Amino acid sequence: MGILFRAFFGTTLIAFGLFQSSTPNEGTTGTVTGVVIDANGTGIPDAKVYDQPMGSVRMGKDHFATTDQQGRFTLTDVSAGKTMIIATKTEAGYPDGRYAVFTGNESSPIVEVHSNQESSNVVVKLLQKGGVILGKIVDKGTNQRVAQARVILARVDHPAWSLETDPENDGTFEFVVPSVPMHITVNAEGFRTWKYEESSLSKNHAPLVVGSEKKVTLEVELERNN
Amino acid sequence: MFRSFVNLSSRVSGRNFTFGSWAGCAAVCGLIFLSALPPITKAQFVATAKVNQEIISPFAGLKNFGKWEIEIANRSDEDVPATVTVYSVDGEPISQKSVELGRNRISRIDIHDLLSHEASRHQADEVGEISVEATAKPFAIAAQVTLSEHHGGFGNIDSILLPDAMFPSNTMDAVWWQPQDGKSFLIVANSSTENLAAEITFGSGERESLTLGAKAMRLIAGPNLRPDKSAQSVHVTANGLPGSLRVSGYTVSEPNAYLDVIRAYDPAASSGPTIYANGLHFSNAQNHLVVKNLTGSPINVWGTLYPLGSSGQVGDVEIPKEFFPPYATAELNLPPGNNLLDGAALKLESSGGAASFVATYVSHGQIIHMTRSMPFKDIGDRSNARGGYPWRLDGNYESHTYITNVGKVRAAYGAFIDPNRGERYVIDTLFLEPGETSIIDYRKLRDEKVADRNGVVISKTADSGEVQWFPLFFDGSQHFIGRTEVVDSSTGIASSFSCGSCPCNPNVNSAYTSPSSVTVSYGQTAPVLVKATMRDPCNINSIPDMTFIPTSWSVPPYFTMTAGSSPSTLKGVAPGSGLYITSFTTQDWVYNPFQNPQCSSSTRINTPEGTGSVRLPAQLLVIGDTTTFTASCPNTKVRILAYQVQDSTSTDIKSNILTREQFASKSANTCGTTITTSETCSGTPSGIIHDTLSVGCNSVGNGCGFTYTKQQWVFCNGGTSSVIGTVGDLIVHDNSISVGGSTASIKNKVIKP
Repeated sequence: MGILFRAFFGTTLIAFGLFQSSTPNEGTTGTVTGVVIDANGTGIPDAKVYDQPMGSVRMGKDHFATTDQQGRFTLTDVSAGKTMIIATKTEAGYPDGRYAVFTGNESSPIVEVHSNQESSNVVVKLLQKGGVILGKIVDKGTNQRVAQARVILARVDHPAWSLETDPENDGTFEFVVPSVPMHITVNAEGFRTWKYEESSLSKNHAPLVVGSEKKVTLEVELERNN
Repeated sequence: MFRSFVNLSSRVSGRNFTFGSWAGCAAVCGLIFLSALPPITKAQFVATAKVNQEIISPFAGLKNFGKWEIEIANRSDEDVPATVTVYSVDGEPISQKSVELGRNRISRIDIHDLLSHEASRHQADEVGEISVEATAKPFAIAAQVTLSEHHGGFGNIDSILLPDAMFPSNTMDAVWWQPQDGKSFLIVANSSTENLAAEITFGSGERESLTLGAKAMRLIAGPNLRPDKSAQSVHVTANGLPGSLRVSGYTVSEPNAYLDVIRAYDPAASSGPTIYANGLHFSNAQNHLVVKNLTGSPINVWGTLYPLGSSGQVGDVEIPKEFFPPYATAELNLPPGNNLLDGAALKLESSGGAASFVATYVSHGQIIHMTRSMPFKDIGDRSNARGGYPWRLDGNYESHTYITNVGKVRAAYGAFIDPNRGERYVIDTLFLEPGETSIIDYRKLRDEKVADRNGVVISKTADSGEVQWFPLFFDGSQHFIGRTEVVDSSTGIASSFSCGSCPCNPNVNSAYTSPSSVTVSYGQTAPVLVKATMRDPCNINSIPDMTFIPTSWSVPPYFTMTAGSSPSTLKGVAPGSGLYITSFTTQDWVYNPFQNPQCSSSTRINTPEGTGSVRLPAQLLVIGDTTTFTASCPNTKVRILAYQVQDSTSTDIKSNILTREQFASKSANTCGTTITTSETCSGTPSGIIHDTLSVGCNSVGNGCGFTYTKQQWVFCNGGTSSVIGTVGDLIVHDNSISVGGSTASIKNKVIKP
């Protein structure tokens, strides 16, 4: 989570490891237990496990569980009904599968949760390890950092699956992304829209693809509007 | 920090050290008493006064030794002019030189240089006593003679210069171990200006009478001693004023490069049946512990070794009880040489009373034929447990100071080191468990640039200096012994320095907290130190402020404070402000040489305090604003706000506080999904709230959604919850999400209550 969302969550979300409770729904919630594994079937410790209810929505604070040394988790206070169980560990290079823009070929399990019951032995597979995009936004004319901007990631295969966020206050951003073609766009007031495919960073105007466990550094040079 | 150069061994559970009065130290501690009282009188005495003082060694040089050296320490913060006088064996002054002793400095003088003008008249074997006279603050000056290069080879002997007043009688006893092929030499001297008649009785039963003129010295050669007996002893008495009899000597075995000093003790100075030594060497050596029963009754003597090393790693080693007939001298059985015992401290106990025995411990290396002998000390009932010693790292020298807690309770000491170049280095409050020894390794401190509490390191160009150490926050229960060992293995020199200092422990002048006021946000912490300005009852030197470790605090309900370690940690738990106060008792010591005991004390209660203030969470800063789509329903928009909780000064509150959200009203949800919110109090790790907004997966679409008005975030603080941010209306649709009237990012916006 920390790497992926440093651009908008800051760095403080990493592994606080506490289960955060939301408004109790006694009588309408259940518990999900299981294990988080990687592509090799190995249990992954310190991964976060989230629920995404299919017929309801959890507003407000994050709600998650953290896996133990064997990768096991217990996620309580899960809304009754069908829920997608998603595991993330961005600090280890796994894209954050909670969001469509980062999903891969893997599918997260959908569990039927019953009130006051435990749905056990749920196996949640992490996404395939992704690559890292490190970016720095600067004013091309002055080479000064630009922090008041919006960075937009969008899948080439599903253009509607996008993510739009702010860079850090020093104009940098960082994402862990799956190894699929991505559009990257940067907007800032007073500057022309910057698109990766149209920049000198792109070869043959191709969208960006970052290989698994690779790292790409982008210097986004914004040109001022005339 | 200090553990990096200080080896510690914790020891002694439930053992009861017996504390008698001062003893054993008479001939090994360079305490400077007011031997020459004029011009100060009892009525005139104040601790700040300078007094005329004279300290004397029975020998300045011996012909069998090639190198004669005297080290004079000025432990005061003033330069001191002094006069060094060398006497002939007949007591005639043969050289007198004025020297300027720099403040907090060691002056090292080649005694041959002092004699250069007289060399034509006086041969080496005619040299007798040496004295240093100065007008200075009491205890400011200490000195020690070291003779080395015996017959151009190995080893050394030392003699501390002492004032007459150090000795309560004119009786001296000594024991030593003598190799089978060794010879021993006794030195008997008269420090007074009157003739002295001395009677010498060796352990063999041989007797000898001497008459010594004023300031005269005699070297009595080995034929008077029995070479067939390893454990040797001598008993010397004399007429005249107490302290005028000085006894020393040495044992030598040239084939083994064995050379050991004979240390004599005034039994009248002893008032307890327990004596201590520390910094013992065991490994790769032959070790001997020799004891003499000084009484006409049988006694038992036994001991305990407290090994260096971590607590419990090496157990205490008992030295079995040994029966001593009246006036008998014998060796005690020691454990085999073992490097686990290197650096150990030793306690010897007698079934007899005070002054019932004397002892010596000597270790002779089997590989490097270096002879190390350790002085014994009796901590007595005096408040004194301080030391001031030289150290040196020039040439091949190594120096280590051993400080052992020989009391029954955990106790702290402090120290400062004045190198010959660079700034003063401070060792702040360092606790030792009973039986525990710490070692100050000067080379390690210097070469590894170990910084003190102020970041000061010992200059790489410093190669000598002095150290002064003292118990801290003395309440009567702390007892330490200490010594410095200076070793040059290339020449076999191993000198032990255990000079005392002011007999009274430093006083707490005033105690204070640092900082004296602290403001933290709710849940945040801040360090608070308790410091004490110190005062030397003898006013020899300025003592740096030291750190006190409080065992408890009195605090208002607005914050908590940890105790038992330093610094204490103040943590804000509620809004408000109040005093944090701790209290501890110390003894205020007054030094007066005309009193017995010389240190009198009164109880002092110290109550350092400060003011703590706690600020509450008061606002939110938007640190992230992201719009995306979830994996479970990728056609429905999600907006995630990240808020940093701040106090009224815009300082981030990084603690995990309890928060919840609340709304003024909630509309129906046209998407038909069930909405769960965070309207009960839950943790906010790192003070960051992540608020996810979405209608969730639905089959309605087409702009369905809901409106929740006046979203507010609330700090849950028991019964006094408070709003810390009013975000505004949330208008959440499947295709657009407005927060506080904005569908665009609101990052960096400050949201007030």
